[in-house]
Amino acid sequence: MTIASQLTHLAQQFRLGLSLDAAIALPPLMKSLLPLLPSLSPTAQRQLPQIMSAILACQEREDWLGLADWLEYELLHVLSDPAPCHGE
Amino acid sequence: MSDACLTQHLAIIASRWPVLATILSQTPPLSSASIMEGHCGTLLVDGIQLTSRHDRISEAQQQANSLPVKPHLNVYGTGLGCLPRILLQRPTLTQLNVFIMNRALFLLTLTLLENEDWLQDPRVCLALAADEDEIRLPFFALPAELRLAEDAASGIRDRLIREISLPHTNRRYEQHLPALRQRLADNRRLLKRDGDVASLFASATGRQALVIGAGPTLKSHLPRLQALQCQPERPLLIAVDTACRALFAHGIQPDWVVSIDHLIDEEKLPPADCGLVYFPLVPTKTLMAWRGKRLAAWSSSPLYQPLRKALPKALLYSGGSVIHPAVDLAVQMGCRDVILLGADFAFPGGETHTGWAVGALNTTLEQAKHWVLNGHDQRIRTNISFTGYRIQLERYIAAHPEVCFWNGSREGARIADCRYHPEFTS
Repeated sequence: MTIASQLTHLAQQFRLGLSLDAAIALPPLMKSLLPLLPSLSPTAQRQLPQIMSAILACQEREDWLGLADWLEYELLHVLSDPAPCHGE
Repeated sequence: MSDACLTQHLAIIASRWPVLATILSQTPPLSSASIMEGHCGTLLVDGIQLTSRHDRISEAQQQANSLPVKPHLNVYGTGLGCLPRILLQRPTLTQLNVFIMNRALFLLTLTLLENEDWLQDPRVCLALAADEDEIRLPFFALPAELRLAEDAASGIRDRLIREISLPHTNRRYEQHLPALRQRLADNRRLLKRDGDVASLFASATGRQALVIGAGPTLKSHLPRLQALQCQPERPLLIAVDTACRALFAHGIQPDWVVSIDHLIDEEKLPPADCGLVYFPLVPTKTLMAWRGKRLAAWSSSPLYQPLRKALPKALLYSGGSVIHPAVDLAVQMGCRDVILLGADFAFPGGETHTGWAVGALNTTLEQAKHWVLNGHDQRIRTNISFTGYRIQLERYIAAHPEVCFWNGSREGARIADCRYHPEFTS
Protein backbone atom coordinates (compact mmCIF):
# COMPACT_ATOMS: atom_id res chain seq x y z
CA MET A 1 0.00 0.00 0.00
CA THR A 2 1.33 3.49 -0.83
CA ILE A 3 1.62 6.12 1.88
CA ALA A 4 -1.25 7.99 0.25
CA SER A 5 -3.57 5.01 0.33
CA GLN A 6 -2.53 4.23 3.91
CA LEU A 7 -3.40 7.77 4.99
CA THR A 8 -6.74 7.63 3.18
CA HIS A 9 -7.54 4.25 4.70
CA LEU A 10 -6.65 5.43 8.19
CA ALA A 11 -8.75 8.58 7.77
CA GLN A 12 -11.67 6.42 6.70
CA GLN A 13 -11.32 4.24 9.80
CA PHE A 14 -11.53 7.36 11.99
CA ARG A 15 -14.58 8.57 10.04
CA LEU A 16 -16.26 5.20 10.56
CA GLY A 17 -15.74 5.39 14.33
CA LEU A 18 -13.07 2.68 14.38
CA SER A 19 -10.76 4.89 16.40
CA LEU A 20 -9.37 2.14 18.65
CA ASP A 21 -7.77 0.29 15.74
CA ALA A 22 -6.90 3.47 13.87
CA ALA A 23 -5.19 5.08 16.87
CA ILE A 24 -2.89 2.05 17.11
CA ALA A 25 -1.97 2.28 13.43
CA LEU A 26 -1.36 6.04 13.56
CA PRO A 27 2.07 6.30 15.34
CA PRO A 28 3.91 3.83 13.06
CA LEU A 29 2.47 5.54 10.01
CA MET A 30 3.60 8.95 11.28
CA LYS A 31 7.06 7.53 11.96
CA SER A 32 7.29 6.16 8.44
CA LEU A 33 6.88 9.70 7.07
CA LEU A 34 10.11 11.02 8.59
CA PRO A 35 12.47 9.49 5.98
CA LEU A 36 10.40 11.23 3.29
CA LEU A 37 11.20 14.67 4.69
CA PRO A 38 14.36 15.37 2.58
CA SER A 39 12.47 14.60 -0.61
CA LEU A 40 9.87 17.32 0.05
CA SER A 41 9.91 20.95 -0.99
CA PRO A 42 11.17 23.51 1.59
CA THR A 43 7.58 24.72 2.09
CA ALA A 44 6.35 21.19 2.65
CA GLN A 45 9.25 20.53 5.04
CA ARG A 46 8.18 23.55 7.09
CA GLN A 47 4.50 22.55 7.09
CA LEU A 48 4.95 18.89 7.97
CA PRO A 49 5.85 19.39 11.68
CA GLN A 50 2.87 21.76 12.10
CA ILE A 51 0.53 19.20 10.59
CA MET A 52 2.01 16.46 12.75
CA SER A 53 1.42 18.45 15.91
CA ALA A 54 -2.15 19.27 14.82
CA ILE A 55 -2.74 15.54 14.34
CA LEU A 56 -1.36 14.78 17.80
CA ALA A 57 -3.55 17.49 19.33
CA CYS A 58 -6.63 15.98 17.64
CA GLN A 59 -5.67 12.56 18.98
CA GLU A 60 -5.21 13.94 22.49
CA ARG A 61 -8.71 15.45 22.58
CA GLU A 62 -10.20 12.58 20.54
CA ASP A 63 -11.35 14.80 17.71
CA TRP A 64 -11.39 11.88 15.27
CA LEU A 65 -12.99 13.66 12.32
CA GLY A 66 -10.61 16.61 12.65
CA LEU A 67 -7.77 14.11 12.69
CA ALA A 68 -9.15 12.35 9.61
CA ASP A 69 -9.24 15.67 7.76
CA TRP A 70 -5.61 16.47 8.61
CA LEU A 71 -4.54 13.03 7.35
CA GLU A 72 -6.61 12.93 4.21
CA TYR A 73 -6.31 16.52 3.08
CA GLU A 74 -3.51 18.68 4.55
CA LEU A 75 -0.97 15.88 5.11
CA LEU A 76 -1.64 14.18 1.80
CA HIS A 77 -1.32 17.52 0.02
CA VAL A 78 2.03 18.31 1.67
CA LEU A 79 3.43 14.87 0.86
CA SER A 80 2.58 15.33 -2.79
CA ASP A 81 4.75 18.46 -2.98
CA PRO A 82 8.19 17.14 -4.03
CA ALA A 83 11.49 18.99 -3.60
CA PRO A 84 12.71 20.74 -6.77
CA CYS A 85 15.23 18.59 -8.58
CA HIS A 86 18.79 20.00 -8.08
CA GLY A 87 20.93 20.25 -11.18
CA GLU A 88 18.06 21.39 -13.37
CA MET B 1 -29.48 30.75 8.38
CA SER B 2 -31.33 32.10 11.38
CA ASP B 3 -33.88 31.81 14.14
CA ALA B 4 -36.54 31.74 11.42
CA CYS B 5 -34.88 28.61 10.11
CA LEU B 6 -35.06 27.05 13.59
CA THR B 7 -38.73 28.00 13.91
CA GLN B 8 -39.49 26.35 10.59
CA HIS B 9 -37.67 23.16 11.58
CA LEU B 10 -39.38 23.07 14.98
CA ALA B 11 -42.76 23.43 13.26
CA ILE B 12 -42.08 20.24 11.27
CA ILE B 13 -40.94 18.46 14.43
CA ALA B 14 -44.03 19.70 16.31
CA SER B 15 -46.33 18.34 13.63
CA ARG B 16 -44.65 14.93 13.55
CA TRP B 17 -43.32 14.46 17.07
CA PRO B 18 -45.14 16.94 19.35
CA VAL B 19 -43.67 15.66 22.64
CA LEU B 20 -40.16 15.94 21.26
CA ALA B 21 -40.85 19.48 20.03
CA THR B 22 -41.95 20.52 23.54
CA ILE B 23 -38.78 19.05 25.05
CA LEU B 24 -36.60 20.75 22.44
CA SER B 25 -38.30 24.10 22.99
CA GLN B 26 -37.27 23.89 26.66
CA THR B 27 -33.64 23.09 25.87
CA PRO B 28 -31.13 25.84 26.68
CA PRO B 29 -28.88 26.80 23.74
CA LEU B 30 -25.37 25.45 23.36
CA SER B 31 -22.92 27.82 25.03
CA SER B 32 -19.71 27.14 23.12
CA ALA B 33 -19.55 26.40 19.42
CA SER B 34 -17.67 27.93 16.52
CA ILE B 35 -17.30 27.47 12.79
CA MET B 36 -14.28 25.45 11.71
CA GLU B 37 -12.99 26.61 8.35
CA GLY B 38 -12.21 24.20 5.50
CA HIS B 39 -13.37 23.48 1.95
CA CYS B 40 -16.94 23.24 3.26
CA GLY B 41 -16.55 24.16 6.94
CA THR B 42 -18.17 22.55 9.94
CA LEU B 43 -19.04 23.18 13.58
CA LEU B 44 -16.40 22.91 16.28
CA VAL B 45 -17.79 22.12 19.73
CA ASP B 46 -15.50 21.67 22.73
CA GLY B 47 -12.60 21.10 20.35
CA ILE B 48 -14.46 18.37 18.45
CA GLN B 49 -15.38 18.71 14.77
CA LEU B 50 -18.96 17.69 14.16
CA THR B 51 -18.22 16.48 10.60
CA SER B 52 -15.40 16.73 8.09
CA ARG B 53 -14.45 20.36 7.49
CA HIS B 54 -13.46 19.55 3.89
CA ASP B 55 -16.00 17.15 2.43
CA ARG B 56 -18.82 16.13 4.73
CA ILE B 57 -20.86 14.58 1.91
CA SER B 58 -18.09 12.14 1.02
CA GLU B 59 -17.65 11.39 4.72
CA ALA B 60 -21.36 10.66 5.16
CA GLN B 61 -21.28 8.50 2.02
CA GLN B 62 -18.48 6.39 3.55
CA GLN B 63 -20.44 6.11 6.78
CA ALA B 64 -23.59 5.11 4.90
CA ASN B 65 -21.65 2.49 2.93
CA SER B 66 -20.64 0.81 6.19
CA LEU B 67 -24.30 0.05 6.90
CA PRO B 68 -25.95 -3.05 5.41
CA VAL B 69 -28.88 -2.83 3.01
CA LYS B 70 -31.77 -3.38 5.41
CA PRO B 71 -35.31 -1.98 5.59
CA HIS B 72 -34.75 -0.59 9.12
CA LEU B 73 -31.62 1.38 10.03
CA ASN B 74 -30.59 3.43 13.04
CA VAL B 75 -28.44 6.53 13.20
CA TYR B 76 -27.17 7.90 16.52
CA GLY B 77 -26.42 11.59 16.25
CA THR B 78 -27.78 13.98 13.67
CA GLY B 79 -24.57 15.74 12.62
CA LEU B 80 -25.34 18.27 9.91
CA GLY B 81 -28.05 16.05 8.45
CA CYS B 82 -25.83 14.48 5.76
CA LEU B 83 -26.02 10.84 6.84
CA PRO B 84 -29.85 10.64 7.14
CA ARG B 85 -30.12 12.40 3.78
CA ILE B 86 -27.83 9.90 2.03
CA LEU B 87 -29.46 6.86 3.66
CA LEU B 88 -32.90 8.06 2.60
CA GLN B 89 -31.77 7.78 -1.02
CA ARG B 90 -31.94 3.99 -0.57
CA PRO B 91 -35.22 2.72 -2.06
CA THR B 92 -34.98 -0.37 0.17
CA LEU B 93 -35.15 1.71 3.34
CA THR B 94 -38.57 1.73 5.00
CA GLN B 95 -37.68 3.15 8.43
CA LEU B 96 -34.80 5.32 9.58
CA ASN B 97 -34.61 5.88 13.32
CA VAL B 98 -32.57 8.99 14.05
CA PHE B 99 -31.57 9.49 17.67
CA ILE B 100 -30.57 12.89 19.00
CA MET B 101 -27.44 12.51 21.16
CA ASN B 102 -27.24 16.14 22.25
CA ARG B 103 -30.39 18.23 22.01
CA ALA B 104 -28.65 21.62 22.38
CA LEU B 105 -26.27 20.71 19.55
CA PHE B 106 -29.19 19.49 17.43
CA LEU B 107 -31.00 22.80 17.93
CA LEU B 108 -27.90 24.71 16.86
CA THR B 109 -27.62 22.70 13.64
CA LEU B 110 -31.32 23.38 12.97
CA THR B 111 -30.55 27.09 13.26
CA LEU B 112 -27.59 26.96 10.90
CA LEU B 113 -28.47 24.58 8.08
CA GLU B 114 -31.34 23.36 5.97
CA ASN B 115 -32.69 20.08 7.43
CA GLU B 116 -36.28 20.15 6.25
CA ASP B 117 -35.93 17.47 3.58
CA TRP B 118 -34.96 14.58 5.83
CA LEU B 119 -37.09 15.75 8.76
CA GLN B 120 -40.14 15.61 6.50
CA ASP B 121 -39.40 12.19 5.06
CA PRO B 122 -42.19 9.84 6.25
CA ARG B 123 -39.65 7.05 6.83
CA VAL B 124 -37.81 9.06 9.50
CA CYS B 125 -38.54 8.51 13.20
CA LEU B 126 -36.83 11.13 15.31
CA ALA B 127 -36.28 10.48 19.02
CA LEU B 128 -33.98 11.28 21.93
CA ALA B 129 -31.20 8.78 22.61
CA ALA B 130 -31.76 9.65 26.27
CA ASP B 131 -35.21 8.01 26.15
CA GLU B 132 -33.83 4.66 25.01
CA ASP B 133 -32.73 1.84 27.30
CA GLU B 134 -30.89 -0.24 24.73
CA ILE B 135 -29.25 0.28 21.35
CA ARG B 136 -30.88 -0.85 18.13
CA LEU B 137 -29.05 -2.73 15.40
CA PRO B 138 -27.83 -2.13 12.74
CA PHE B 139 -26.62 1.37 13.52
CA PHE B 140 -24.14 4.05 12.68
CA ALA B 141 -23.04 6.32 15.51
CA LEU B 142 -21.51 9.60 14.41
CA PRO B 143 -18.00 9.65 15.94
CA ALA B 144 -18.17 13.30 17.04
CA GLU B 145 -21.51 12.84 18.77
CA LEU B 146 -20.18 9.97 20.85
CA ARG B 147 -17.79 12.57 22.28
CA LEU B 148 -20.42 15.31 22.53
CA ALA B 149 -23.32 13.26 23.96
CA GLU B 150 -25.38 15.02 26.62
CA ASP B 151 -25.39 13.55 30.15
CA ALA B 152 -28.84 12.01 29.70
CA ALA B 153 -27.69 10.12 26.60
CA SER B 154 -24.56 8.71 28.24
CA GLY B 155 -26.18 5.31 28.88
CA ILE B 156 -26.86 4.77 25.17
CA ARG B 157 -23.51 6.31 24.24
CA ASP B 158 -21.71 3.75 26.41
CA ARG B 159 -23.63 0.87 24.83
CA LEU B 160 -22.77 2.18 21.36
CA ILE B 161 -19.09 2.48 22.27
CA ARG B 162 -19.07 -1.05 23.67
CA GLU B 163 -20.67 -2.43 20.52
CA ILE B 164 -18.21 -0.57 18.29
CA SER B 165 -15.17 -1.59 20.34
CA LEU B 166 -16.12 -5.27 20.72
CA PRO B 167 -14.41 -6.52 17.53
CA HIS B 168 -11.26 -4.64 18.59
CA THR B 169 -11.37 -6.22 22.07
CA ASN B 170 -11.94 -9.68 20.60
CA ARG B 171 -9.04 -9.30 18.19
CA ARG B 172 -6.68 -8.35 21.03
CA TYR B 173 -7.90 -11.35 23.02
CA GLU B 174 -7.21 -13.66 20.09
CA GLN B 175 -3.52 -12.72 20.19
CA HIS B 176 -3.28 -14.56 23.51
CA LEU B 177 -5.09 -17.70 22.36
CA PRO B 178 -2.04 -20.04 22.06
CA ALA B 179 -0.94 -19.21 25.63
CA LEU B 180 -4.50 -19.59 26.90
CA ARG B 181 -4.90 -23.01 25.25
CA GLN B 182 -1.66 -24.11 26.90
CA ARG B 183 -3.01 -22.91 30.26
CA LEU B 184 -6.11 -25.07 29.82
CA ALA B 185 -3.92 -28.07 29.07
CA ASP B 186 -1.81 -27.32 32.17
CA ASN B 187 -4.91 -27.13 34.38
CA ARG B 188 -6.56 -30.28 33.04
CA ARG B 189 -5.35 -32.47 35.92
CA LEU B 190 -6.66 -30.00 38.52
CA LEU B 191 -9.96 -29.65 36.70
CA LYS B 192 -10.47 -33.40 36.87
CA ARG B 193 -9.89 -33.41 40.61
CA ASP B 194 -11.64 -30.20 41.64
CA GLY B 195 -15.35 -29.92 42.34
CA ASP B 196 -18.08 -28.32 40.25
CA VAL B 197 -19.51 -24.90 41.11
CA ALA B 198 -22.94 -26.49 40.51
CA SER B 199 -22.62 -28.04 44.01
CA LEU B 200 -23.19 -24.52 45.41
CA PHE B 201 -26.26 -23.70 43.35
CA ALA B 202 -29.45 -23.16 45.40
CA SER B 203 -27.44 -23.58 48.62
CA ALA B 204 -28.09 -20.05 49.92
CA THR B 205 -31.75 -19.59 49.01
CA GLY B 206 -33.17 -16.41 50.49
CA ARG B 207 -29.84 -15.24 51.91
CA GLN B 208 -28.56 -11.76 51.29
CA ALA B 209 -25.26 -11.62 49.37
CA LEU B 210 -22.55 -9.02 49.43
CA VAL B 211 -20.60 -9.19 46.20
CA ILE B 212 -17.31 -7.43 46.76
CA GLY B 213 -15.40 -5.84 43.89
CA ALA B 214 -11.98 -4.18 44.15
CA GLY B 215 -13.03 -0.64 43.19
CA PRO B 216 -11.85 2.42 45.15
CA THR B 217 -15.03 2.59 47.26
CA LEU B 218 -14.39 -0.85 48.79
CA LYS B 219 -12.08 1.00 51.20
CA SER B 220 -15.01 2.82 52.80
CA HIS B 221 -16.81 -0.49 53.50
CA LEU B 222 -13.94 -2.29 55.23
CA PRO B 223 -14.89 -1.30 58.83
CA ARG B 224 -18.50 -2.41 58.26
CA LEU B 225 -17.35 -5.68 56.71
CA GLN B 226 -15.03 -6.27 59.66
CA ALA B 227 -17.96 -5.81 62.04
CA LEU B 228 -20.19 -8.09 59.94
CA GLN B 229 -17.56 -10.80 60.05
CA CYS B 230 -18.19 -11.32 63.77
CA GLN B 231 -21.98 -11.59 63.52
CA PRO B 232 -23.43 -15.12 63.72
CA GLU B 233 -26.01 -14.51 60.97
CA ARG B 234 -24.31 -12.46 58.34
CA PRO B 235 -24.86 -12.16 54.60
CA LEU B 236 -23.01 -14.41 52.20
CA LEU B 237 -19.69 -12.79 51.25
CA ILE B 238 -18.49 -13.34 47.68
CA ALA B 239 -15.33 -11.44 46.70
CA VAL B 240 -13.48 -11.01 43.45
CA ASP B 241 -9.83 -12.04 43.52
CA THR B 242 -8.26 -8.58 43.45
CA ALA B 243 -10.39 -7.43 46.40
CA CYS B 244 -8.83 -10.11 48.61
CA ARG B 245 -5.61 -8.32 49.47
CA ALA B 246 -7.53 -5.46 51.12
CA LEU B 247 -10.03 -7.85 52.73
CA PHE B 248 -7.37 -10.19 54.14
CA ALA B 249 -5.39 -7.22 55.48
CA HIS B 250 -8.47 -6.32 57.55
CA GLY B 251 -9.12 -9.86 58.73
CA ILE B 252 -12.16 -10.27 56.49
CA GLN B 253 -12.58 -13.77 55.09
CA PRO B 254 -15.17 -14.12 52.30
CA ASP B 255 -17.15 -17.32 51.93
CA TRP B 256 -16.15 -17.58 48.30
CA VAL B 257 -13.53 -15.89 46.18
CA VAL B 258 -14.04 -15.82 42.42
CA SER B 259 -11.10 -15.73 40.02
CA ILE B 260 -11.15 -15.95 36.22
CA ASP B 261 -8.08 -14.24 34.85
CA HIS B 262 -5.01 -15.88 33.31
CA LEU B 263 -2.76 -13.25 34.95
CA ILE B 264 -3.85 -13.75 38.57
CA ASP B 265 -0.66 -14.77 40.33
CA GLU B 266 -0.19 -15.40 44.04
CA GLU B 267 0.64 -11.76 44.67
CA LYS B 268 -2.72 -10.70 43.25
CA LEU B 269 -4.55 -13.52 45.02
CA PRO B 270 -2.71 -14.58 48.18
CA PRO B 271 -3.53 -18.17 49.29
CA ALA B 272 -6.31 -18.40 51.89
CA ASP B 273 -8.54 -20.93 53.65
CA CYS B 274 -11.84 -19.84 52.14
CA GLY B 275 -13.48 -21.34 49.05
CA LEU B 276 -12.32 -20.51 45.53
CA VAL B 277 -14.51 -20.63 42.44
CA TYR B 278 -12.41 -20.34 39.31
CA PHE B 279 -12.45 -20.37 35.55
CA PRO B 280 -9.85 -22.75 34.13
CA LEU B 281 -7.50 -20.02 32.88
CA VAL B 282 -6.26 -19.08 36.36
CA PRO B 283 -2.54 -19.93 36.57
CA THR B 284 -1.82 -23.47 37.78
CA LYS B 285 0.55 -22.18 40.49
CA THR B 286 -2.12 -19.88 41.94
CA LEU B 287 -4.58 -22.77 42.07
CA MET B 288 -2.06 -25.19 43.59
CA ALA B 289 -1.16 -22.67 46.31
CA TRP B 290 -4.80 -22.13 47.35
CA ARG B 291 -5.43 -23.66 50.78
CA GLY B 292 -9.23 -23.73 50.78
CA LYS B 293 -11.73 -25.70 48.73
CA ARG B 294 -11.58 -25.25 44.96
CA LEU B 295 -14.57 -25.43 42.63
CA ALA B 296 -14.30 -24.93 38.88
CA ALA B 297 -16.77 -23.32 36.48
CA TRP B 298 -16.85 -22.62 32.76
CA SER B 299 -18.01 -19.53 30.95
CA SER B 300 -19.70 -19.71 27.55
CA SER B 301 -16.44 -18.61 25.86
CA PRO B 302 -15.73 -20.57 22.64
CA LEU B 303 -12.24 -21.18 24.05
CA TYR B 304 -13.75 -23.51 26.65
CA GLN B 305 -16.03 -25.44 24.28
CA PRO B 306 -13.65 -28.32 23.42
CA LEU B 307 -13.00 -29.18 27.09
CA ARG B 308 -16.46 -28.59 28.50
CA LYS B 309 -17.79 -31.98 27.41
CA ALA B 310 -14.80 -33.93 28.71
CA LEU B 311 -14.75 -32.10 32.05
CA PRO B 312 -18.31 -31.04 32.76
CA LYS B 313 -18.78 -28.15 35.22
CA ALA B 314 -21.57 -25.62 35.43
CA LEU B 315 -21.51 -22.30 33.60
CA LEU B 316 -21.23 -18.90 35.23
CA TYR B 317 -22.08 -15.73 33.35
CA SER B 318 -19.12 -13.84 32.00
CA GLY B 319 -19.07 -10.36 30.52
CA GLY B 320 -15.36 -9.64 30.60
CA SER B 321 -14.89 -8.86 34.29
CA VAL B 322 -14.68 -11.15 37.31
CA ILE B 323 -17.57 -9.21 38.85
CA HIS B 324 -19.97 -10.95 36.41
CA PRO B 325 -19.38 -14.57 37.53
CA ALA B 326 -19.21 -13.35 41.15
CA VAL B 327 -22.69 -11.82 40.83
CA ASP B 328 -24.00 -14.84 38.91
CA LEU B 329 -22.66 -17.14 41.64
CA ALA B 330 -24.69 -15.23 44.25
CA VAL B 331 -27.80 -15.43 42.07
CA GLN B 332 -27.36 -19.12 41.23
CA MET B 333 -26.79 -19.86 44.91
CA GLY B 334 -30.31 -18.54 45.41
CA CYS B 335 -29.71 -15.06 46.85
CA ARG B 336 -32.52 -12.67 45.96
CA ASP B 337 -30.83 -9.60 47.46
CA VAL B 338 -27.44 -8.81 46.00
CA ILE B 339 -25.52 -5.81 47.31
CA LEU B 340 -22.57 -4.67 45.23
CA LEU B 341 -19.61 -3.18 47.11
CA GLY B 342 -16.55 -1.74 45.39
CA ALA B 343 -18.20 -2.28 41.99
CA ASP B 344 -17.34 1.23 40.80
CA PHE B 345 -16.58 0.83 37.08
CA ALA B 346 -14.84 4.20 37.36
CA PHE B 347 -12.02 5.96 39.17
CA PRO B 348 -13.62 7.96 41.99
CA GLY B 349 -11.06 10.01 43.89
CA GLY B 350 -8.46 9.40 41.17
CA GLU B 351 -7.91 5.81 42.31
CA THR B 352 -8.44 2.64 40.31
CA HIS B 353 -8.66 -0.09 42.97
CA THR B 354 -8.65 -0.58 46.73
CA GLY B 355 -5.45 -2.17 48.02
CA TRP B 356 -3.48 -1.52 44.83
CA ALA B 357 -1.46 1.44 43.61
CA VAL B 358 -2.71 3.04 40.39
CA GLY B 359 -1.26 0.98 37.52
CA ALA B 360 -0.53 -2.14 39.62
CA LEU B 361 -3.41 -3.98 37.96
CA ASN B 362 -2.66 -2.58 34.49
CA THR B 363 -5.27 0.15 34.79
CA THR B 364 -3.89 3.67 34.56
CA LEU B 365 -5.49 7.08 34.78
CA GLU B 366 -4.09 8.05 31.37
CA GLN B 367 -6.59 5.60 29.84
CA ALA B 368 -9.41 7.36 31.68
CA LYS B 369 -10.59 9.63 28.88
CA HIS B 370 -14.16 8.51 29.21
CA TRP B 371 -16.72 9.73 31.75
CA VAL B 372 -19.77 8.32 33.46
CA LEU B 373 -22.31 9.75 35.91
CA ASN B 374 -22.02 8.77 39.57
CA GLY B 375 -24.80 8.60 42.16
CA HIS B 376 -24.62 12.37 42.67
CA ASP B 377 -25.14 13.02 38.92
CA GLN B 378 -21.54 14.16 38.62
CA ARG B 379 -19.25 13.15 35.78
CA ILE B 380 -16.41 10.93 36.98
CA ARG B 381 -13.50 9.52 35.02
CA THR B 382 -13.42 5.98 33.71
CA ASN B 383 -12.18 3.98 30.74
CA ILE B 384 -13.85 2.08 27.93
CA SER B 385 -13.12 -1.36 29.42
CA PHE B 386 -14.74 -0.56 32.75
CA THR B 387 -17.70 0.93 30.92
CA GLY B 388 -18.10 -2.24 28.86
CA TYR B 389 -18.07 -4.34 32.04
CA ARG B 390 -20.74 -2.13 33.60
CA ILE B 391 -22.98 -2.45 30.56
CA GLN B 392 -22.71 -6.23 30.60
CA LEU B 393 -23.62 -6.19 34.29
CA GLU B 394 -26.59 -3.93 33.54
CA ARG B 395 -27.74 -6.38 30.87
CA TYR B 396 -27.42 -9.24 33.36
CA ILE B 397 -29.43 -7.27 35.94
CA ALA B 398 -32.13 -6.51 33.37
CA ALA B 399 -32.36 -10.24 32.61
CA HIS B 400 -32.89 -11.10 36.31
CA PRO B 401 -35.92 -9.12 37.50
CA GLU B 402 -36.46 -11.71 40.25
CA VAL B 403 -33.35 -10.42 42.07
CA CYS B 404 -32.97 -7.08 43.91
CA PHE B 405 -29.63 -5.55 43.05
CA TRP B 406 -28.22 -2.79 45.25
CA ASN B 407 -25.33 -0.43 44.75
CA GLY B 408 -23.33 0.15 47.95
CA SER B 409 -21.89 3.52 46.95
CA ARG B 410 -22.88 6.71 45.18
CA GLU B 411 -19.26 7.59 44.42
CA GLY B 412 -18.73 5.03 41.65
CA ALA B 413 -20.60 4.75 38.33
CA ARG B 414 -24.37 4.60 38.47
CA ILE B 415 -25.54 1.10 37.50
CA ALA B 416 -28.90 0.90 35.71
CA ASP B 417 -31.66 -0.88 37.70
CA CYS B 418 -29.40 -1.07 40.74
CA ARG B 419 -30.84 0.95 43.61
CA TYR B 420 -28.71 2.62 46.25
CA HIS B 421 -28.66 0.60 49.42
CA PRO B 422 -29.85 2.78 52.30
CA GLU B 423 -27.43 1.34 54.91
CA PHE B 424 -24.31 1.09 52.80
CA THR B 425 -24.73 4.51 51.19
CA SER B 426 -25.51 6.30 54.45
